[in-house]
Amino acid sequence: MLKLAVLSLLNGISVAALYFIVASGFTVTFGLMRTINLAYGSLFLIGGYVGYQVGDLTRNWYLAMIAGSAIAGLSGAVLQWGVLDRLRGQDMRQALVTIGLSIVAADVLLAVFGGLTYQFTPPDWMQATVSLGVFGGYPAFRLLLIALSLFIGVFIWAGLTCTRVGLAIRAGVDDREMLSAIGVNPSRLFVIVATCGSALAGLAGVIGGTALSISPGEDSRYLLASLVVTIVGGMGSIAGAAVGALLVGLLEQVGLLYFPNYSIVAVYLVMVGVLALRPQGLVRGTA
Amino acid sequence: MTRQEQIALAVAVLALALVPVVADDFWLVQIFGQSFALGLVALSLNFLSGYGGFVSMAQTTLAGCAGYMVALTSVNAVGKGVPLHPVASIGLALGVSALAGAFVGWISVRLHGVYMLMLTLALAMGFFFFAQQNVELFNAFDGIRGVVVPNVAGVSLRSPKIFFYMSLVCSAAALFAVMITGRSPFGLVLKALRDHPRKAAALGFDVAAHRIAAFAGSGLLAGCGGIFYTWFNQRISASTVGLGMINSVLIMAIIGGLRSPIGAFTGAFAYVLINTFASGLVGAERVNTLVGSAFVAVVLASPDGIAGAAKYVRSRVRQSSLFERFVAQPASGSARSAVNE
Repeated sequence: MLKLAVLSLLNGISVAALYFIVASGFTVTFGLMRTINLAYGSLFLIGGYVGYQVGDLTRNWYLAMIAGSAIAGLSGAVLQWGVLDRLRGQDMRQALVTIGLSIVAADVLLAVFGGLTYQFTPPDWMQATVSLGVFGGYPAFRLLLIALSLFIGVFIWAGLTCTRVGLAIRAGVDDREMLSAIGVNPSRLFVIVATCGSALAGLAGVIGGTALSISPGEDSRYLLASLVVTIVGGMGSIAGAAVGALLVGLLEQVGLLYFPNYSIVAVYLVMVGVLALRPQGLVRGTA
Repeated sequence: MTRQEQIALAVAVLALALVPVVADDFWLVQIFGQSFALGLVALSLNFLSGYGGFVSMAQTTLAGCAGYMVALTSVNAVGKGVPLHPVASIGLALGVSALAGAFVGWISVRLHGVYMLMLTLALAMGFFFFAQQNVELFNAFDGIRGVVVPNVAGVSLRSPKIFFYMSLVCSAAALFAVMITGRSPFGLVLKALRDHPRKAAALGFDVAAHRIAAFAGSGLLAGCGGIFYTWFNQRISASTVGLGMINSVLIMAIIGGLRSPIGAFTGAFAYVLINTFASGLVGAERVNTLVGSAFVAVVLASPDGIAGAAKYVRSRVRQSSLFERFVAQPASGSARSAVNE
């Protein structure tokens, strides 16, 4: 029984890691740039599907990962540059346009890739099982996923706080005109941020397709996770995204073990509780 | 509601009342009946966004609450729930959807604009995943099949002409109620909340109570639509409250024009027509691409939808953009501070 609990705890953390990778891009673009992109679920799917196609052709999982991130990053850049930047300051129209685009994207992806469920095959060394002593074994890939999400979290945090680009991004959020007056192009800067966030969503598509699977409808699951993580954790905060993702992932997986009919409800009770007590989210945004 | 609008509405309802003379059962139920049912749900969104400035994505869920309730309190093929007298069943369903509406309003009481959209979207999708997961009450993915529509004096309410007139009368009454509310003190306070929440609060209006009441009212409207939609399909399942349907209701409301109550029904009618007939043109599988593209085009080109475009042509006076009017006014910065208060 304890073994089962520990395993479901680990499952919860690995799902949380996946949610965190998608939601970190969402929360940074929303919290820092005030640009809302509700097509993150679609970017996740695009990354996953294209990555699968590349991986299937080249038999190389690393290439799949790179291709998935690249195509999602490119789509995100085009979306930011072509649509969202033109609707700057009109967040409701941004939300509606990206909802519309995600409907189209889901339909086109269904047409191209069909309704099948895909699963990636990672390199052999990742398929190993790590022994956890009395608790049995656990797939190495999921432990790697947890490590990767930690790395990404630290990387984003450090990038925003310690680098000149991060400084410019935070400055651009506070005063766009002043930033452009000192010679930085905010539009270009925000395209870079959108590209990175979208590439993370695409990366999550490949990794999620390896740890779990990828199929039509997964986009809504990850969009929902991003929304809840952002609402619970606080807009624009990486630490908040981590806390939110952990909460959602753990409640979902541990709930599946102990109260399978109602595990989703637990997540929502927490969300409602957070909104009632701390409407700004658990961790306040940085900008 | 101006005299002109009253006459237009009366003429439209009378014209629609004559439709059964020429239309066959397919048009009465599949096209008009379905449009009225979905239009009621879209109307609940138009009511909230037009008067209060609340763009709620949870209206499909509110309709779904009533739909599930009416399915569970009717005789059905999966043997879930307890069959009740139709009046009790309908009353319970409307009560549940109004309560659920009040609940959504209460949770989102401090949020504005896109923050409210995100929260209501999260709530709505949470309900979908819950309905899909829960076997005990919602029968999971399969949902409640074979819902028996009640008989009145030996005639099924699902028989085409009865269903058509019933949904028409209910829609007209709901539309009338929404238009009357727009002129009532309650509606005026809602508009004040939309235009400047802080000023309205400073004048002594209870912002939270008005918002929650508006959401409860929208729950009633959506609940009517949900009951008709469940009777129309004679089933309800998780996909009825899924993301596809949530987006569809938003599309209807936007295409018709978020600010005009009649727009909800023109939007629903347009959506049902496209959904029914475009499959012959682009193939049944690609309808969503067409609808989604049309939606994006409308949001980018004419934020007021069909109603806005018609108004523009009629008056040839450029309307101020809908979104700048009621959403962009707490510019992103102040929306955030409102959240942080």
